[in-house]
Parts: sequence; structure tokens; C-alpha cells
Amino acid sequence: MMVDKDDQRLTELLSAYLDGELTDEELAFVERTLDSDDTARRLLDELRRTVAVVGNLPKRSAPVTLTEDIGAQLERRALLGDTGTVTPAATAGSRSSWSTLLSMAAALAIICTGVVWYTYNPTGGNLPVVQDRVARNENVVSAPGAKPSGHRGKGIPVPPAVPAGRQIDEDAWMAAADVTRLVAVDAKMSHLRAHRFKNEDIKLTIAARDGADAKTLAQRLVSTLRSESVVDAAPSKDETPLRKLASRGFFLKGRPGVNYEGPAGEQQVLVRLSRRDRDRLFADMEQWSGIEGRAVLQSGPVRVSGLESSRLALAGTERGGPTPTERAQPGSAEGAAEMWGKEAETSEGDTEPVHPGVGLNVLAELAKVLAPSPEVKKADLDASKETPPSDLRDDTLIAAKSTGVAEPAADAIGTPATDDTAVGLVDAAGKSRASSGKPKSLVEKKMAELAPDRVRRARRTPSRAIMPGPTVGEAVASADKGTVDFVPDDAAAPDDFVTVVFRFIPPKLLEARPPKPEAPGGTDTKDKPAKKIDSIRK
Amino acid sequence: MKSRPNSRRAQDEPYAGRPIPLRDLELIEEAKTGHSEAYGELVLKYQDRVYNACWRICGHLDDAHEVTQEAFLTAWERLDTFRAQSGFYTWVFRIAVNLAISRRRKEARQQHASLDQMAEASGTQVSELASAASESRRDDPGLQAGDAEAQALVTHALQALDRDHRAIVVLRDMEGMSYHEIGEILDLAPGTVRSRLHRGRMAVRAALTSCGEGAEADER
Repeated sequence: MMVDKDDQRLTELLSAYLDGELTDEELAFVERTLDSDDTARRLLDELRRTVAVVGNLPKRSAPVTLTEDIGAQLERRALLGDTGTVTPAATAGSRSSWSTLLSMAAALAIICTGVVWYTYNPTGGNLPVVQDRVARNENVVSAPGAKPSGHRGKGIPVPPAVPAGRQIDEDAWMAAADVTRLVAVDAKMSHLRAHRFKNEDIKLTIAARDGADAKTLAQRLVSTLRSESVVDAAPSKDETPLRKLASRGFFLKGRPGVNYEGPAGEQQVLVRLSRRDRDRLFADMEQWSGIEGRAVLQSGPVRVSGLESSRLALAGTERGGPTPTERAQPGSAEGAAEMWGKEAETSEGDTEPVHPGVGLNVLAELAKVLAPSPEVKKADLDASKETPPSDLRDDTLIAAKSTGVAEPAADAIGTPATDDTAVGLVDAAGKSRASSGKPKSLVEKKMAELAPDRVRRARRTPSRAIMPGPTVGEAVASADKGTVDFVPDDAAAPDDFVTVVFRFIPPKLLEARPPKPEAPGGTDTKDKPAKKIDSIRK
Repeated sequence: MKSRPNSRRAQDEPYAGRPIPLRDLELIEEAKTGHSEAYGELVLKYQDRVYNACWRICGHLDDAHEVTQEAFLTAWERLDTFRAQSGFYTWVFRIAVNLAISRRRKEARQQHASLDQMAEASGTQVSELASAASESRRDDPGLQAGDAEAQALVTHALQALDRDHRAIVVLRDMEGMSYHEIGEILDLAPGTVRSRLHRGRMAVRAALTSCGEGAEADER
């Protein structure tokens, strides 16, 4: 074969020859040609030089920020709910940049304080996601990329995302958070462990004096969770586009979770653990008091917690989506309306559409139904004062009542006059309902069936001032099931699953919170923790 | 010509037929179970190569950064679909290269993304190349200015190639991938890879040859 007759084929063969990609037959042919043809050899040399120049083009190392950028993107996507999540466990040694990434993830939008808040659910699925401040438009989403874990749980229904809370008054939120009454972890964990699941919910707050310690705490928490938890997840079909838009992810890759953002930017992570693992986790957390002096806990009941809110939210899914009027409501609903408007545009065809305005309306409705009379409120407070602080829950509740910062959701729901948000919600919901003329939702019908007197009567019961409840959640649960079916801890088998909600609060909220007046008539039991925290903070 | 390039097949081609590194498999399995630190190790291991390839294909460092980032993010998201039928690097390269190519396609569709932008891209890369070459010379004083010129020409020539040809040249001559791997990444038959690689190399060779002829003319 002459070169000038089939130059292209020869050069292609020479090119492949350089790469060692010839068949034996081709190789034999090329070698024969090279032995006999100077032009072919020259061509081969040129090709070799070409390849060498290309191969020697300067290389650049990836920017040192690339890994961090990837981490940031993962975080951003997680926050936006676009895609998968990432665990924020830090890595060590040579993986420093990834460690930075993971630290960033762990910090999760400046995590500083965590509230652990768990609800017992021995039956597996159908446990509502906890939301204590749905009235303040908490955003409920599923973890981006979350997939069913395939474990024993049936999956926790994800409440519809209630409008994003960016317009929420942070001071109001902080007033509800009651972070000034923090107690040392050691002291309170025992109470927590002793009393958990005896009532419908217990709130545990983990706070840190500064961001670094909080980050450490959060990392350890997440690390523990990551290794021990089996997190239920919403099926992917639940991840509507808007939910993705509105979502705030946490990082439990591989253990998909149901994560959502609170009104002030706090993050909540819902995980499910076996009771055994939960116990281990909590035991671990007790060990974390090693970083104490800084890590402190607050525990105590949340009288009207997210449980009912989530039930409401879940129930709300039975209803149609928000009307344009609802979306246009002022105040805290406004931002939500914007978000939901987006979803309304993008979620068409979803098998389980999310209806954002529902939670607001339902809560507003509840606020009307459950608002106690002034007499009831006074009776509750009197009862609380009369009862000795026999345990942590009592202590916390009484103290909280005294300072007027407890019962956050109760403030929002049951005593709307003291909460602008609630008032706004009531007004907004009332207006929207009046203007929309929509039929009552199932939950509204159920609420209508639920005699308001029953709720008020329960709230008048002195013990209810100490032993939290009946909450709105109970009321709704009663409406749903005819009974409140919280199972005591000792009824749970080690392999039964419990739901734990971890709540992370940005430190700025803690720092920004003005000091609260000392609780009047506080006992030593109550004052000590507060003083301890004060001293810690100082 | 005494060398036997084909003898490189077994030793010098680091990827052809090479089993997936055990460590990679371990890391992937860990990452699949949620250990993002394991994934981080994979990222750190391959990010330079992916980044470089993307740089050459995209023509901009910024684009390379974005594409590399996106590739690893995408890989993370799809990690569950990774079946270890090819190496992790091949898989990530496939994602990255296709992202890079897609990006170029999008640019090409844009009204202002035709010749001027290509020229700008090429110029940018040449500028970046000059910077990199300068750094190289600092590190390696023996590197001649003429080499930098040749590299600039090659860079220009590469940018003048269409994206598919450029990607093949980059993957083969810079990344040392086999035809089979390139075919996997670009979803091409090895024969197609071979012919396109040949065309790409010939284009680059032409640029270098013209440079050499120009230099000879200058000397005359």
C-alpha cells in the first residue's frame, strides 16, 4: 500500500499505532509500512510529537475551593431540596478540604442550638411530623433525594409544607423558644429519660454558648444519628417541585429524613430510631455533657406542640389548595403564598399535591375553637402555682408559664390576642375562608364535631397545667381516632420505632434574644438552672 | 522507527482493562451508605483530572470549575446507580465530559456564542495556558519558550476542533484513556473513537506543522 494512495487510512492507523490500539493484522501492516516508507515514518514522528505536545499541556490542580464548593453546592441543593443530601460528618487528616465541606454541612446554616423533641410512635407510620409553630408558617419538606429506607417503618407522612417563614418575627419565635431557661445537661437528661413518652411530647433543647461548640455538638449529634438511625422518608412522589423549592434539607444521606425549616430558620430533622437506638443515642448525648459548661439542655413539655400542628397539616392535605385569595393574605402568609404560588405552578400532576394554605386555615380555625376564656387561663396558671415542681416537666412548665414564654404554639393558637402571628393567621384565614367560600375541609368538619367544651374542660383541669395537654393535637387526635393513644415508654419494645425530631436553631436567635425577667416566685429548683446558664453565658 | 507502541498496551495504559481499584470500590460502597467522607476521598482523588479535562474541553477555568463541581454533585446524587461496571473515574468522566459538551452545545445555540465567543474562549484558554506555562517554566527552567508557543498553538488548535473531537483528544492524549473507555464515556464505538481521534490529531498536527513552517520561514 502506498502512502499517497490512502493517506488518511494510514494516518489513522499510525495514530492508533501510537496508542497501541491496532489489531494484530493492522499492526503487522503498519510495521511493514514503516519499515519501507520514509513518509510514513515522518508522519508517525509528527503524530508522536503532536501527541506529546498535547499530553504536555500544562495541567492545573483543581482549585482548593473546589471541594468546598462541592460541599456548598450539596448544601445548597439540600437546602433547596433539589437532590441528595450529605452527611456532615467531618473527616480528618488529609481529607481536610472535605472535612471543611462536611463541617460546613454540619454547621447547616449556622447551627447552634438544637432542640430534640421526640414523640413516641410504636406503630410505625402515620405519626405526624412535629411542628410546634405551624402557626408561624413552618416549612415542612422531605429530605432531598430521600428514598424509602426500606426498614420496618411505614414511612412518616410528610405534612404539607406550610409557607416559608422568612417573614416570621424572630423575636416572637424566640419568645416561644424559651432558651433563657436552660439547664445543665446532666441534670435534665435524667428527667428527660425518666419522663419521656409518659406524655405526648417532650422537648429537649441543646444550646451552646458559642457557635464552635454548638457545631461540635451538632456534628456529634448528626454523626450519632447517621450511624444509628433509620430515618423514614417520604416517597419520592411526595417531593413536589414546590416542596423542593421550599425545602430545607438536613444531611442524613442514606438515612433519608424528613426535614424542614422552622419559621426563624431553625432546622428540624425528623428521624426514626428503634427504642434501643434512641436510648443509646440519648445515653451518648448525656456523655456530651463533656463539652458542657457550654452544652446545656432544656427539657420539658411543649404544651401545644407540633404534634397537633402536624396532624392538622396532614389533615389539611385532604383539602384543596389555597385559593388565590389565601395566597394573597398579608403578613406571614404572604411569603408563603409566594412559595406556594410557585408550587401551584409546578406541582400540577403530582399524585399528592401539597396545599400550603391549609395549615394556616386549620390552625386559625383551631385558634378560634380552642381559645380559652380568661377564666380558664387564670385557672391554669393558678393550678400551676399550686402544684409543687415535682419533676422537670412541672418545673419547666411552671417556669415557662410564669415567664409567659411557654406553650409557644398555645400562644399562637390558644391565645391569639397575645400573638400577632396568630391574630394574623386568624384574620387571614377568616378572610380567606369568607372570600373563597370553599367548603369545609375534612379537618374542619372533624373540628366541628369536636365539642369545644371538651377541650376547654380539659384545659381547666389543674393537672393539665402540670401534665401537658390535652393539646390541640390531642383534640385532633381524638377527633381522628376517638381517643388519644399515646403509649407509655415501657410499652415500647426495644425494636419499636420512635420518632425523634431534632431541631437546630441558628445562634443569632439565641444571641439576639433579650434577657427575660426573673420568674416571679421561682423556687430554688427553678432558679438554679437559669442561674447556671447565666453563669455559663457570662 | 524502532519503537513498538503497541507494547505499551499492558504497562503504560493505566486504564485499559484495569480492574477498579479496590479502594475505590470500598469508598463507593461506603459512600452509598451515606458516608460522605468516603465520597470526599473519591472527589479528592479524581478532581484534578476531571478538572483538567473539563478545562480543556470547556476552554475556561471557570467553566471547568462549574462542570467539575456539577459532575461530582451529579455523581453523588446518582451514586446508587453506579454498578461498578466501569471505574469510578470513567463514570465521573462520563458525567463531566457530557456536561462539558452539553455546555458547549448550549453556548453554540446561543445567538452570540458563535465565532466570537469561540475565539474568546480560545483566547481565554490561551491566556490561561500562558499563565500555566509561565508557572511551569518557573518550576522547570528547562522548559523553553518555544514549548509554550507550541502549547499555545495546540490549545488554539484544540479549541478549533468540534467538541466531540476535542473531548476525544483530551481524554486520550491528556488523560491516557483507552479507546474503549473513551467510547464508554462518549457513547461511541471504539472505531469511531479511533477515526475521530485521528482527525483531531491531524488538525493539531497541522497547526504545529504550520508553526514549524512559519518558524523555518522566519529563519530563512
